[in-house]
Amino acid sequence: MAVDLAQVIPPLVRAKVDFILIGGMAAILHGSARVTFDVDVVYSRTQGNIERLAEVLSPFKPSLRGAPAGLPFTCDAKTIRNGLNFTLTTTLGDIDLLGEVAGGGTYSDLLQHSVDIEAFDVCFKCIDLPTLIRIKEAAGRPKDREAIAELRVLLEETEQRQS
Amino acid sequence: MLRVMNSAAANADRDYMRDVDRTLLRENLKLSFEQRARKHLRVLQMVEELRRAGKKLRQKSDGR
Repeated sequence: MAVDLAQVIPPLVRAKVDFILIGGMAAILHGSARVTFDVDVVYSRTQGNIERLAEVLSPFKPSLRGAPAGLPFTCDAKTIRNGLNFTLTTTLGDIDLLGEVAGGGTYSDLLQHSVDIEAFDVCFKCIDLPTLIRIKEAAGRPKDREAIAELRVLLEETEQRQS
Repeated sequence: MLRVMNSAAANADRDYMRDVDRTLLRENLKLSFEQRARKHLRVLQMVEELRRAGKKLRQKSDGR
């Protein structure tokens, strides 16, 4: 199912979940022309934030993506506390919750490398373009080479527009 | 050896960058964040529609 940022982001913001949008959707907001199928967020691992995150996601019936059918998954604070990174399918589409990301670190580490985005009637944090490139490079996946090249071009174009 | 490999990787990256369609990106940069998200959603919905059509076609040909 096509995941719509306008459906995913506002509930998180309104529930006061501390998160940073990263990955392909962050690239889209920075101007990428590539297609991405999921929403990746790095979330703060504080107890309160994990509770808010679990509560806001529960109504969207999250289950582990690619897990064997019938494998139980309870979207509660305990489950999220005991894990770190989750690839979920929800009624809103695919959402990846990341407690930590290679090349970027945790929510606290990434906070200084994020920008505030105003869209969908809310304000939320999105990873900045240089850090998004760094994270993609750290992932070291051959399939990301073209995406990285596009992000580098976007960075050049953005800098040219700003100068 | 490592230097040769790094140089080859840098050349490959430059090749990839040369192939990027800058006109598409420049058009996107003119849009607001929300417009960029909506444009992507429309593309995503089209991709899904094509996937569904492909699946139906495969099912139909399998049924023959």
